[in-house]
Order: sequence, then structure tokens, then C-alpha cells
Amino acid sequence: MALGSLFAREARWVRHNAGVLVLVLLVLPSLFAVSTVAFQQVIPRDTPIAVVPESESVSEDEIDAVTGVAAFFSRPHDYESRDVAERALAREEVYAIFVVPHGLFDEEASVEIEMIVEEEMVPYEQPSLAIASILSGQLRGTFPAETTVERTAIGEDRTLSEFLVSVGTILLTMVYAFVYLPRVVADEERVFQRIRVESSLWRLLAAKYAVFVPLMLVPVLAFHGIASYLDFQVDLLAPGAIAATLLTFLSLSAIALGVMFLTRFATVGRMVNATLLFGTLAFSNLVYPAGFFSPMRRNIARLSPIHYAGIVHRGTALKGNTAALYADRYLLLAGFTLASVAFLVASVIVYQRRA
Amino acid sequence: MAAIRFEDVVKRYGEVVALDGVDLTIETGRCHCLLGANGSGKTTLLRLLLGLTRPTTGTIDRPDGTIGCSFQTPTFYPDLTVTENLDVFGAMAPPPDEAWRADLIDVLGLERVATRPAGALSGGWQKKLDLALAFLKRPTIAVLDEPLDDLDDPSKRRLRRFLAEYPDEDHGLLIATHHVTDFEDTLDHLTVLDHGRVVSDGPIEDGPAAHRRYLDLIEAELTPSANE
Repeated sequence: MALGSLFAREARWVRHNAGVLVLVLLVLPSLFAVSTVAFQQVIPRDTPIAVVPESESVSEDEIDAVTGVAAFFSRPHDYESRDVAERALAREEVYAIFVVPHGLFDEEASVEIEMIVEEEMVPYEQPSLAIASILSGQLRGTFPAETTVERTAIGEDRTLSEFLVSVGTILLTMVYAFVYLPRVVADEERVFQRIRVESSLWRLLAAKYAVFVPLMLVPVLAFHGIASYLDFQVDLLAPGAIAATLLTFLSLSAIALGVMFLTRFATVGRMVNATLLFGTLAFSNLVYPAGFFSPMRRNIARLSPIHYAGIVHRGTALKGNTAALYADRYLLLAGFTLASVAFLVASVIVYQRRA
Repeated sequence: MAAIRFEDVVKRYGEVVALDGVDLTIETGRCHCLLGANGSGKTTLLRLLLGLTRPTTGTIDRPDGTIGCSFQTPTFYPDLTVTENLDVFGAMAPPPDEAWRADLIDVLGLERVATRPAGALSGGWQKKLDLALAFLKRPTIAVLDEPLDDLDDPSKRRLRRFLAEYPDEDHGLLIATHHVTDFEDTLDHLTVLDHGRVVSDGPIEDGPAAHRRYLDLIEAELTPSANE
């Protein structure tokens, strides 16, 4: 066949797939380009932090003054007590606590502001050292008192590898949900007609989940086995961590399958799922604390249920906290899972009605 | 005797009317042949009957019994062997007994390819597996879309004999085909579809041979437009 004929065939292919090509080559790259505005700086300037009075003698002006200075490199929130702030720290509502003592406006006084961070938040270790240093300098010129910042790390010392094992479990679960399960179901589309006559797509999906949800424990066991072999201090088999992993898989795979049914298992469905995967990876702040890169990313991450899946997984597997500490987060994940399953159900109904 | 009844069924796909006011009864005890040219609405009618799509208007009553189906494009799990496919779909809708399954395998000669992955089979063997799956549960009505496509002559002869014996008080056949001559000795009820409408429906013994009747009808449909 002459090159011209093959080129003509390609031209027809382009014409027949114009809509998909616009989506894949124009819309998706544009969305990617637009998403880069969410990455504004590499130094964390918008990480939420807690500001708490050391004692009842600390005045409102002192709290306001520290809050004002801290706003240059973070997003400060006032907390009434240290206990409440530490609970917020464990839940990653904030990533540092600044305990403000009395005497900031006393020229004769020498005061020490305590900066509390968690050992387990490994990616925040170096930024928190830098923040402590910068803050010390800024406070020295701001307040009459001799002011220093003392950084205290609470919790258990963890390595970056241990931290990444927890993150990796959720990341891999996302890949299974957005790529692997949709591919397996797509391979079976050719038998859907017979399945619908002899049984139903609902039963097929129920059977798939009955097999794949337990299968998701296999990579968890593999991660746990390797982590144990390497003597990592991380418990991926903690019930709370397993619940977070499985809820992540259920919710995201339901969305991914819903997309496949809505697009009738066309290539464009796979592209949409790949985009959702990368979008979720980029904007759920699974590795870095919310507030890194830009305020926009912090706001987006705080809207992502997967951001909270990462937090509760870390909290239960890496920090050894009880699942009860994250009860509201589990409720959120469960609600998100229900909404995702509802989307899948609606997609299957549309798929069958358009058949 | 069980029956599937279409009452004033209309099916539209956007502006296209695939079926237009179809009234039809498909009963057990007979071999019912659905005949029509390409685009006449046969496939749409079968999909409605199987519940794979819904009528735009009208009603379809199905019997309490089961419906089995063989598709124009064979439909099975390509990565499973022939035996595994029979096991999987047999578990969804079990055969009446093991002897029935063994008979089917014998009639269709599937023993030779029992352990081969279904997706690796030739077109003829894939068609035989699809037919075996259609009859596996010994359905009340077996719906077959071009059942002889891709089959060699000996296989066609064996299948025709099997089809001729299948209808009884509790079982019936609905065969959609372009090739009515293949079933002239088997069929006893003929429905002709043209442009989504039933242009003829009746028992075969009351009229001329099926093929002749079909050709006459098509000719009658074409003649006015040819004169215009």
C-alpha cells in the first residue's frame, strides 16, 4: 500500500476520533498546564500551624503578635490549650505548635517560644528546622524581650523510608483502583451481553469486588513483610490502616469503573482515569504536608478524601495512634465511598439503558 | 406452553425507528424463524427479547422459564478453556443434568477442544462453544442469531438434527437468519421483518415454502418503489 493511502487512512482516523483527540491532546494538557499554578513555591509558606498560650498570663496581644509574625511562613490558627493543639497535630490539622510564653513585650525578660513538631512527619523535619531558625531571627527584631525559638520533636523517630512505606501503600492502592481493576473489567466487556442474559452486571461487579477487596491485602502483606525484614517501625496491618487502604480502593475503583461504563470502555475512559490518577496523586498531598507549594494546593488537598486517607493511614500505621482519633475521617471516607458507589451504579444504569 | 409476547413494540434510536409497532408471539413447541434483510430489525428484536435493551413504547411479556442465547458474534470468556466456560456459565444457570451437558458436547464435538483456551479457537469452534452455552441450561426458549455461520457441513447437519428435535411442549426455538433455506426442513413458524415492521407472520405449513414466501414478500415490498 502506498504511503499516500496510509496517510489518507490516518486522516480519516483523525476525523473519526476528533472528539477524543481534542480531549486527549488539547483539554488534558491544558488542564495539566492550568494545574501548575497550584505550584507556586518550594518553601512551605502556607502550612497550617497552631499558636497556643503557655499559661493564662499570656495576653491576647502577645498571641496576636506571634500569630502575625508566623503568618509570613505559615497559616496560623489560635488554639486555646496545648492538649487541643496536640490532638490537632496528631490529626495533621496543623503541622507545628507554637507555645507562646508571657513577657514578649517586657524589655527585661528573656522568653523562649516552643515549636513542637512530630518526629513521624519526616518531610517536615528540615522545613521545621529552617522555620525555627527564621522565626528566631524575625522575633528578635520584633519584640522588646530577648526571644528565642526552641524546636521540640515529639513522638517516635522515623526514617524517610518508613514514612514512604505508609505513603506507598496508598499510592499503589490508587494505581490498582484507577488502572488495574478497570483494565480487568474492560477485558470482560465482550461477555457482558451473555452475563446480562444469564446473570447481571450487578452480580459481576459484586463478584469482582468480593475477589479484589481481599486481594488488596496481598500488596499490604508484601509491604508489611518487606518493612518487617528491613526492621521498619511501621505497622501496615493495623486495623485502622487496612480500613483506610480498603476504603481508598473501594471509592477510587468505583469512580474509575463508573468512568469506564460511562465511556462504554473506550480509550478515552482510560485517559480520563489516568488523568484522575495523576490529579489525585498531585493534589492530595500524600507526601508533603498541606500548605507546601501554595495555598491553593492546601485548599484542594483539604477537599480530597484521599488526603485524609493518607493522614489516617500514617496516623495508625506510622504514629501508632488509635483509629478512634480519626473517627470523623473514617466517616468522611465511608461517605465518599458510598457516593462513589452511587456514581458507579448510575453509570451502569446509563450503560445498560444506552445499550 | 410458554410464550413470549411483543405487543405494539416500538424501538427508536434517536431519529431511526428500528422496530415499528411489532406484535409477535414466540411459543414453545415450535421452531420459529425470524427472517429479514440487513437492517430489518432482527437484531433489535432479539436484544429486546433478551432484555439487553428496552422498548421505547409497547410491552414484552416473557415466560417464567429461561431464555438461552447464541450471539452472532460468539460471546464467552476468551482466556478460559472450553470446559471452564461451560463450568462458569453452567454455574450461573445449571444444566438439568450432566447427561444433557454431555449430549451437547457430543453433538457439537467440543470434546476435541475441551482443554483449549476459547479465544484461541477458530471461528467455527467458537460458534459451537457459543451454541453450547445457549443450550447449556436447556432453556425454555433458545434464541439463536445465525447459528450455522462458520460451521462446516458435517457440523451443520448434526446441528440441524439437534435443532429439529429440540422443540417440545416445554421448549422452543427462535432463529434469526438471512439463510432460510438452511432451516426449511426444521422451521414451522416464519416471521418476516422489513424496515422494522412485521410483514408476514404465520405457521409454515399454511403457505408456500419459507424461502419462496420470503422472496415473494421482499419482491412485493420492492416492486412499488421500483415503479415509482
